[in-house]
Amino acid sequence: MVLRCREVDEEVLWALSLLRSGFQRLCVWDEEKEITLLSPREAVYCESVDERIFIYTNASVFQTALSLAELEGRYGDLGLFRAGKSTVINLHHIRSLKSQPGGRIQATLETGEKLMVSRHYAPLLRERLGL
Amino acid sequence: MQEFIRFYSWGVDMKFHMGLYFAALVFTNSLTRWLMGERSIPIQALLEMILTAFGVAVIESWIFPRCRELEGPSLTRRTALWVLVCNLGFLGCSVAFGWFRGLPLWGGALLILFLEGGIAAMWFATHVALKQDSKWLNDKLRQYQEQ
Repeated sequence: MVLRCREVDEEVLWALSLLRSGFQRLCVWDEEKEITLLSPREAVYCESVDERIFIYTNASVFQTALSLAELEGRYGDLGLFRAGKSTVINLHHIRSLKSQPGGRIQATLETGEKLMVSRHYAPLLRERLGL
Repeated sequence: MQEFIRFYSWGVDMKFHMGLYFAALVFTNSLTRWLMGERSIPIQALLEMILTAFGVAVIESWIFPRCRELEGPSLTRRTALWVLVCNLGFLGCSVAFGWFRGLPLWGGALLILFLEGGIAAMWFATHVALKQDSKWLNDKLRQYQEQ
């Protein structure tokens, strides 16, 4: 398939990303608009900021055209879990969990970042872990 | 941004404890006043209670910092300090602001018992129940990651 366009802008990247995002690889792009096929296993966490979806790996940050719901739906089996309205965490990249007052759970990621699993999603995490 | 998130998270935790303290103060004060035939709490008393709850919760967040895992003698020392702060804060302000004026001696003793029970329950929830829950969560997480 050949996609012709005057310039590679955000919209083209978005369309390309959707076309190339199969079930095994995620089509993402970086700041230089360079497209990469990323294994979902490499994603440490995903975040929605200003209607853009960012994927954070151990070393880089990428953008994708998939929504957080799509990421969780497609790659849930690989460990991607919805932790809040604007975050999806990869359970395989969590270093530790800490139970918090009010039913929330704090997740410390391999990168050292701390993310909160909201009151709404915490019971689903417990269920997913078999608690 | 990171500083803001840290401050915001501290605020969420602190306000949660402040809310618990305030609810306990309003509950005991309402019950006491109702039993003594009153049907309202002055707004000034409510403001005094919320400020007292805020003060105790802020000091508590210094005694038990979120970023540190406390164990052994350090936890014991800080727990003793926290119990002292709670007693001085709540009992001191109750006497100073006259929240329970007119209460018989046995009623005061009952309230102190309620306060100590509440403090013990809160300590258990924070330092025993939540820690045990965290341990279970981490055990299950390891199992999931090893699958």
